[in-house]
Amino acid sequence: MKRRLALTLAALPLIAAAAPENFTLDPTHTYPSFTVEHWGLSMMHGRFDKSSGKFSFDRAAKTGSTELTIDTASITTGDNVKGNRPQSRDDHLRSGDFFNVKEFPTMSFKSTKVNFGAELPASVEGNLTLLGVTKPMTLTFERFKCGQNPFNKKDRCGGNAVGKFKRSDFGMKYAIPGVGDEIALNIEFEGDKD
Amino acid sequence: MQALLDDPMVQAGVAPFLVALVLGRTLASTRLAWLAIGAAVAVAFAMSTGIGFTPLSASRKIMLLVLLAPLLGVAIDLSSLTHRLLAPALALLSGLATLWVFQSVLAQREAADAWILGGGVALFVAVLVHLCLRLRDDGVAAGAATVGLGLAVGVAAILSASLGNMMNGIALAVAGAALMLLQLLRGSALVPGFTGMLTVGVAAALFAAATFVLAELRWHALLALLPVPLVAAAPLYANRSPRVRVVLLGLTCVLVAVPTILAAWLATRFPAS
Repeated sequence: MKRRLALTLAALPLIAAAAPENFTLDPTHTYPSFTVEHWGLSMMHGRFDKSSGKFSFDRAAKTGSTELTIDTASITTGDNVKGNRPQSRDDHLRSGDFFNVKEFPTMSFKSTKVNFGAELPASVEGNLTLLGVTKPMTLTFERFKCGQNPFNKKDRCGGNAVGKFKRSDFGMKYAIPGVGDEIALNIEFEGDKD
Repeated sequence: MQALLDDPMVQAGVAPFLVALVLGRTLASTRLAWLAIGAAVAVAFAMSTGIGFTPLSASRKIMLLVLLAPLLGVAIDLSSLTHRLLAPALALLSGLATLWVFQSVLAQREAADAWILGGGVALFVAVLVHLCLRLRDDGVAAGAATVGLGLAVGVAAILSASLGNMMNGIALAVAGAALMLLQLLRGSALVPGFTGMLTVGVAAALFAAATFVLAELRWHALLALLPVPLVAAAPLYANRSPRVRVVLLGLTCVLVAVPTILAAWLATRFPAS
């Protein structure tokens, strides 16, 4: 009996360390952004201003998960005032030629597997859903760090994840190759522990 | 060569025009010359975004219906099916198909909004298709309406943040222009039948509807399209030779297309709050 109690007490730290840590993405500090080649001359940068989601990881078990939902209508490339033109670039990106936001108001990424480095996640495999099409995609964490939110003292993790996909794989074929097919995604994120 | 094929003016203009001209000329002695319209629009689809139906988004449903319309038209023409309710029935079917096309968009709206939007767009499509089908026995009027509708839809689309539908509309206009040119050179009309006018009506109506629902076209620009086939059906220049009628009716329908373009342009100057 005493031996059983001793073993149980000895195992408690391990059980606690094996517990998954759950985080909710801070929408005001999470920025899914992208770059795409334009006419072979320059890289155009864009960003989605509204997103939401969560992530979790278990350092001991080296497992984790993440879900990110992006409001496609929140896309901005810094050109939202049409002036004397018939349309701004951002209006065109929201139209059926590109993100078709009226029919597909969101795009999302949902993980299937998280790969760990020494202690923290190094990459996440999952599925990107865009324009109703779901394809596998891997995001690599260029940075993944954890600390403390100085205001509410909660544990906070953040970093950035990068990945690439071809928009034509999702049926977004307009203006290829003038506007590049390959999209480089960079998601800066932060989240407080639940 | 690839740069040429990637040029939007080639994809939406030159290629569809040439395809319509060659196919129309080849089939001129048959009842199927107006298959040229469907072929021209198919070429524009293939060269710009490619022809594919997965996932079945609203735009791909439109592509499917526009490609099916000439096949249905051919079946009707070759069967010599005649009934006074056939054209209204096809118009009604087109309207109902519109609800299927925009189902995913309507599902995101509140019920009352969805009914108003869906019902309004379906009614517009049904009416425009019916007005186009009325022209199925008059090749010159049909060609003029096709040019006017295609031009109106195409230019209004580019003013409404939809370059894809601009290309679709322009492809329709140049296909109509190719058949008008053939009729001018022949000195006689090419009867469109259901093959031609079901395709024109469905294509013009759905391209315009898509620009309204998925982009920035306003509802009054849609209504401004309806006079185009109405004017084409009017007994204008009835006593003129076919060649003169081609030129005059063609120019008239282009003029009647201007209000749609103007409505779209004014919307860019005075955006909705």
